[in-house]
Amino acid sequence: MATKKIRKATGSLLEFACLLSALLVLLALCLILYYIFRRGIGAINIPFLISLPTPVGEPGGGIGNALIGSALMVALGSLLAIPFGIAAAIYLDQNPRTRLAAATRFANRVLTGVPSLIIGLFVFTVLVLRTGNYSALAGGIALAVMMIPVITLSAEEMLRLVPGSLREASLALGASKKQTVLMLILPAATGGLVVGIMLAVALAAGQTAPVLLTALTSRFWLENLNQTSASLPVLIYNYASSPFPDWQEQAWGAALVLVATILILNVTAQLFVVFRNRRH
Amino acid sequence: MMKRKTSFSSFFTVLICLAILVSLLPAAAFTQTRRPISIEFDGRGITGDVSPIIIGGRTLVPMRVIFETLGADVNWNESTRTVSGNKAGRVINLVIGSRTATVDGRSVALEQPAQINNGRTLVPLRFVGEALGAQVEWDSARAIVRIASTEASRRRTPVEQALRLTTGGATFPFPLYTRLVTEYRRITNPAVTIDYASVGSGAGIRGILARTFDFAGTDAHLTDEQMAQVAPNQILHIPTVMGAVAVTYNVSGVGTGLRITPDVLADIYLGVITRWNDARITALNPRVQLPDQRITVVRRSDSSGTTFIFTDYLSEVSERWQRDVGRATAVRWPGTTVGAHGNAGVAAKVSQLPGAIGYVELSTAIQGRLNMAQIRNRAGNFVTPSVEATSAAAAGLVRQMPRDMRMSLVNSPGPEAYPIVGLTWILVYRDQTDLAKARATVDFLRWAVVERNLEPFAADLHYAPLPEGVITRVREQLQTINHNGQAIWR
Amino acid sequence: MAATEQPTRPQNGEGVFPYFTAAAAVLILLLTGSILLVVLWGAWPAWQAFGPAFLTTSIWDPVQNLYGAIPAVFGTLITSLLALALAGPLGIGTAIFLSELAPPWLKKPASFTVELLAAVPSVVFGLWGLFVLAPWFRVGPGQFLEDNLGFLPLFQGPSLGIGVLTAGLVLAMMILPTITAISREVIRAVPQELREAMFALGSTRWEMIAKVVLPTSKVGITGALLLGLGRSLGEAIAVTMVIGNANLIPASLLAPAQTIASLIVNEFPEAFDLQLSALLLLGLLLFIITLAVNMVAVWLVHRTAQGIPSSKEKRRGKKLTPRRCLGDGH
Repeated sequence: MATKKIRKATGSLLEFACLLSALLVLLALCLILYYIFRRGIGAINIPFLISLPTPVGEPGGGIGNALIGSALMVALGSLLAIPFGIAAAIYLDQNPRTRLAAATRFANRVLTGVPSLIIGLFVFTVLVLRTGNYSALAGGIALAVMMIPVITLSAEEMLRLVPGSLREASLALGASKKQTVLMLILPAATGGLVVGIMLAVALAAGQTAPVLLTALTSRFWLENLNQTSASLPVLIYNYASSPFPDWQEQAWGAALVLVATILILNVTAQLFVVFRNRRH
Repeated sequence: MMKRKTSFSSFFTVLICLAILVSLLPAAAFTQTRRPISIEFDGRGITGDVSPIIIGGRTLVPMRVIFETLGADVNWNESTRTVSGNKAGRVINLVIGSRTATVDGRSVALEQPAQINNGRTLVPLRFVGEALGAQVEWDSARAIVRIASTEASRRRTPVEQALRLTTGGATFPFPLYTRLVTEYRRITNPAVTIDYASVGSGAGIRGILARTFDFAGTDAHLTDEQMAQVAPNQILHIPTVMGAVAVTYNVSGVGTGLRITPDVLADIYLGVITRWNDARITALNPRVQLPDQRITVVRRSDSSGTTFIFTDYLSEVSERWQRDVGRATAVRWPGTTVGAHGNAGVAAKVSQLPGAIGYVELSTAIQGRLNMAQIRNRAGNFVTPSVEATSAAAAGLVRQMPRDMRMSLVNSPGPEAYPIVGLTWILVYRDQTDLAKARATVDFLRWAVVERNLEPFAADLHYAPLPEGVITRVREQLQTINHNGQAIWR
Repeated sequence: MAATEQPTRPQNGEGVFPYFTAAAAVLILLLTGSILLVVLWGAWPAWQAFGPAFLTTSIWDPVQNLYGAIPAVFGTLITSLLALALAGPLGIGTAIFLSELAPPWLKKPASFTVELLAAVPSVVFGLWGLFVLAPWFRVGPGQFLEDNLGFLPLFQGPSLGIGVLTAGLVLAMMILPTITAISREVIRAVPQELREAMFALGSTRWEMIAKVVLPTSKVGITGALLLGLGRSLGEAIAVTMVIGNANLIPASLLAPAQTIASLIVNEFPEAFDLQLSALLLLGLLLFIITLAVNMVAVWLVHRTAQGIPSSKEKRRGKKLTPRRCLGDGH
């Protein structure tokens, strides 16, 4: 009986340790969010969100162009990376054992491990140096390169989750492989695909180095995709290390906007998936 | 129910509008009385003995100030109480208290008449300015009246097409350049957008060599090897301003103005002197009570022009530094040092760590009210860093300035000179490939440097203006910029 | 859905579709290949100049143009291992709590919060580390360590707030969500029948965890730890802001150091020629280290996920999704 008690006590103690670590982790992470919120909220108002940065010493100024630049470049990156990544995933799903599939899988894995600065450098070398100018277009492409492996990996995984019985049924009914993929497998996997895409979007939206090397930064509105463009992470990095208190203040404001946007995107995606699963 | 709700909401709307109005009124009154109006002519401030006033939404200025600024002759006829101005044959007459004025005999209605206030004759600014062919703008946020002369606007080739210059480089002059390009766009050339990205001198140099930048900023001039990568004399170095690097410290009980000699500074950074009460420091500061405290050396972690100027100076004054460490934007620091990111990072680290010493650019030191050391210069005087002492450093070296203006300003021989100062340059190609961009580049540099429009902004941010001799050289350099052999400068 | 479409001749219905998907796969190969080529091409001059000595020397001197990777590699490894030592136990404990112990109403929202935090950009962690953690650490825990354990070389002062330990802390915060989320997934994949069998044998809840859950998911959890390690190795911006950036092998955990990624971030803006090339060579090195860690991790995670006896459909449903394996990159 005594041993049982001891066993129970040890168990409770260790369980308590787990509870404690969970509390600590959640607390620490929530503290970061709270702190960003507290420091950033003071800087945020409508003019801050929609106006251009002002020169040093002039009051006001905002992150309007960085917000638009980030949104456009991430959108451009998604536009390129999503069809690309999903197409590659479909290939991997349809031809899982070919040599090309094995090589692509390996290459994709390699791509996820490439430091983001190096991806920026790559796009800089092949695009910016070639054309002679920094552009939002190059920034979008660099972000696409960052997003492709994430989307491909998650999409392949999600396609695999579609039960084989469904595929066989479709093929048995005389549908072509293409029809099966487009009409059946993709719709069935949409929920998972969206989550993967959202993660890729969040990853792209937070990138500093690849964007700085390709789109540079700008203090003006983006008029066309061939121009340099501002972006939120670059602005945060530059302003955080500036000696001007109002710029540091704006760095916190921009950080809050960035984090809030990414979190909202993620929550939306998760809710979308929950909603879909419920409907099915 | 519905009806009631509507009337309620409209009632609230009215109430809110009233509240806003009420809260705005005193504010408007305050801005008029509190905020002095300043006048800028072609980007430079003008000071009169009577400040401008606003009456009925119109700015009135002392007549002499505006007429003389615009280069017109001005006369006062006591019997007819008439102000008359004459510029290049154009005659303007204003009668005190009359709402009608004449320009070359033609009558023009005025919203506010000329008037006498405290014994001074005040005339409506916009009317006079525009009648004499200048452009007048009112910046309500900063209470500045901006006047642009016809000469300025006529000389500038108006660029019809919107044009954007992609430039970037040194971080050090970035705050100044952000203000300059905004001002340039506002005053002289609204079609031209100059976008300067603060990415570091090295990235600036790489950008100009790869032609991804239309022009580039740098704190470290090109080396001979870099110059060799392009045709000889192809890249011009245009100095814009000078900056000082202040030595700052945090020693308990010690205020600003600690005296330091070059050899002591080098030995602190070499790790030879490790405590604040070292005999060599106390000997220089007999009246300061220096504590027995460990010296923590703080330096920039990111590669930077500030580090270049500082290590350039140490290399100049210490053979051992020159041999063991050398000058560069990032060096191999001897001993244990603390790296901090950016000037702000160094300033923060120095104020956080008791016993710390660090180097930051002057504006950071002044803004952060940091302790600044007096450094003994070549002439043997202990000098506190300041804009004037920085200018003095350049004045002492103008004669030795090489043709291509690649030179170091550290350890200047001038008696008043602060020894740790450096130039910052704009790099631009002599042979330009795009005519519109070439025009905009030359015009901007001419406006900013040669016509000295950068000076008021530089002063605000504690950069020192270039001495006269250097500006002449800049002018000569800019005149060599050409497009297919055609000079751009007019 | 396919039934609504008129089934046409399957052979000809394919069109260019298979080619299109294959082209996408080939493009990924080409992309990866050309990135490697560009980096190799950029790093080549440095490799030519230093050869293998680059990996065995510890001088980093931009003035003399002498470059050695040891301090940066050492700093990278020590900070990442430190982060792992801090975040590993906490993350696994949290994962056990979230999957085994927490009341059902708490499981979902808490897990969700942890996963969300994996998406917070690293520049934001850096901002927080620099302005909040470092100043607090200098006077709080740092000073405490210096005062009480300063006799150990490991905790020799002065406590500066920035340095190896602070960088390790920031990295730990960043990889916690990754480790927790993946470990939780791996633990959840342990079949329910095994747990019930243990309870039937009269075990306490903890004994069930210790004897069944943990051994079964051991390899997967190791994979989660390695993925966390992979993320911290490549982390640049956040580490740069708090590590103190000294190109030396740090004498103590409170001293400043440098990592590969932070060195690249610090010197890239002003680098030229050989220095630039040396930075790229470092990048290549980092990339090889990260890749190796990632490959081992993915292999381990897959092995557990596949090695558990369970019904096929069920396993599919609980299989690890890469979004959890990937974290937020660099």
